Amino acid sequence: MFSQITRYLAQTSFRHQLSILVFTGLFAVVIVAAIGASWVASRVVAKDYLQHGESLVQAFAKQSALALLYASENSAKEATSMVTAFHDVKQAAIFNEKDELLFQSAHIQAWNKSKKESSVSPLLEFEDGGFWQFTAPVVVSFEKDGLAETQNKVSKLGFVKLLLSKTKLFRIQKQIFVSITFLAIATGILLFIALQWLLKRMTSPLQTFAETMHQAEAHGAGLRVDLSGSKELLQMSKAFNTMMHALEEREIKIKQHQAQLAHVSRLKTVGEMASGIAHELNQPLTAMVHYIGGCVERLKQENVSPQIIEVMLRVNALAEHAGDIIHRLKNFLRKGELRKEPMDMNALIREVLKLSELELLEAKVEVILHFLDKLPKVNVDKIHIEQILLNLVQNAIDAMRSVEEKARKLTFETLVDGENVIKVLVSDTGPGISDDLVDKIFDPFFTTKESGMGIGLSISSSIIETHGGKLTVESNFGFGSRFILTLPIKEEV
Amino acid sequence: MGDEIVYVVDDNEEVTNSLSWLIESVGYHVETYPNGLAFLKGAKFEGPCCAILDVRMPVMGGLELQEKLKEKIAIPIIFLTGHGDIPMTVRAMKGGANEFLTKPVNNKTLLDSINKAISQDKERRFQSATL
Repeated sequence: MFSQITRYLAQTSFRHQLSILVFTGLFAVVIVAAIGASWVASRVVAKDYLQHGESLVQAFAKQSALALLYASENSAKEATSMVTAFHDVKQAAIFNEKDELLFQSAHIQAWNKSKKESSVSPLLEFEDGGFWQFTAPVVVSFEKDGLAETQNKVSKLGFVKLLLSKTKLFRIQKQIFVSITFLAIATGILLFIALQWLLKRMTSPLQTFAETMHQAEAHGAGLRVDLSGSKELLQMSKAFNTMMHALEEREIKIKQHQAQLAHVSRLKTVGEMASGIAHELNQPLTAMVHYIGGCVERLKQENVSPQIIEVMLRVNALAEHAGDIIHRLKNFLRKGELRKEPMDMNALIREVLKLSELELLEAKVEVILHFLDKLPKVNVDKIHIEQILLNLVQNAIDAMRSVEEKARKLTFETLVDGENVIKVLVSDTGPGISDDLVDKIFDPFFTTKESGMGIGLSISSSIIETHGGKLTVESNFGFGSRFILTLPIKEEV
Repeated sequence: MGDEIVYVVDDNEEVTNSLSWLIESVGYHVETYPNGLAFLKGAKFEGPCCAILDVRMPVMGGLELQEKLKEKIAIPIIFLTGHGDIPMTVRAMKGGANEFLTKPVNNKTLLDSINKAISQDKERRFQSATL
């Protein structure tokens, strides 16, 4: 039960929690106040009633003096009727000195004989759930004549008793309790409503804030909070807006960077394809040119018709022309390729990992970095080297899909090799590459992937070569692959 | 003519075959090798000679071969490449290459270069013999 309540409280909103707390507090205060006030008021009223009873019985005693002196029943009746005229007095009686009943009004219950000293009032003889029984002595005082000192001589004639009903007192007490409780509850409700309003004012900015944050989480950009309220809330909203702004800027930057990379990647792909085709065409063209050249030389020596030689030379010229076109195409593709600047490879790797963070997370690949501190800078085109690294990361992710999640580890290691070369080792724990394929992986259009063009590594290799470096692979079939990127510290030439 | 040897080092068999066919037609002997390492192992360098090297080859490329060759013998070198970029050419020429030609090269240009290289090697041999 208790744990259920705590769980409910933990799950519900801040405002709800505060409401519950305030309500419980108010309820307790109202109950305590009502009971306390009623008790105090009842005490006061009860005391008043006792005093009322005392004065009644005393008055009754005074009125009964004559009746007792003369033992007159008429007088007794008169005195009694005076006192029973009070509605609360249910029963009254006059006794003489010998404890004999002189007169009694209506008999409701027997007089209680037990004499108990009451601390509340000296005249209160007995009290039960419904009645107070008062008693008072009937005395007369005589004035003693002729004595130097005037002294009253008191003589007891008898006593009177009366029974005062508590019904009215109870009714009054009940009325007091009801009205006080009603007042307290009404005040409590009013207070509760006021507090609710206050709470709403206090917590609604928080709720707005929470909703905005939720929206920001769901679909990101452009959300700002505009909160009014306490100083802390203003500070919080300001901090949130600043944070959102920073996040958006970062996202824009990353997107731009990715777009740039994609653009370069496309250009590179097209370029590499053209390059590959050009290279493949160039070799047979070369062979054609030289075969024809050899034929022409031989034919010249054999004294054949010059027309044949002329035609063969035309063929040769055409092949050379085709070769020329290919070279022009290659030169065009190569134009303005590199924008080299000194780069820290460690920082560059970190940037690449940031770019592929999501994919690595998704593929549950653990990334391990073994960086050499103070790694010398290399002069490279940042975008191009990033592309190579991204390609290697992508290959590693693809390769490791076939191994169990726990074993997917991608390790980056940087080191200096010799005086003027740094190495970047990228190792995965994929299945590795079999020996018969290892030599082919850098060939253009070679791929083991179902959806791949097979030019990633070929492009990477040619990019690295234009940087004066090398891209090689070591593979342990069954245990993983390691790609080694070598880059010169000082650029040659 | 008769003893002069032209070494052709290229990984593409059609290219080496066609080059042999052309160069033999003007009377030189031709030896072909698929890469730099095979060339270093196989060639004897007896008599006047020159080498036609491809730049990109597996195992040992042309530029690396040039470095290695320098330690052994100073024969004239003609580079033949599919893609001649400027840094590569500069490097080759600095290393002492006679020519840096791009494929497909004009037959006359190539044969002229070979003739020049062979006579240069003859001269060098003659000088080192007289010294």
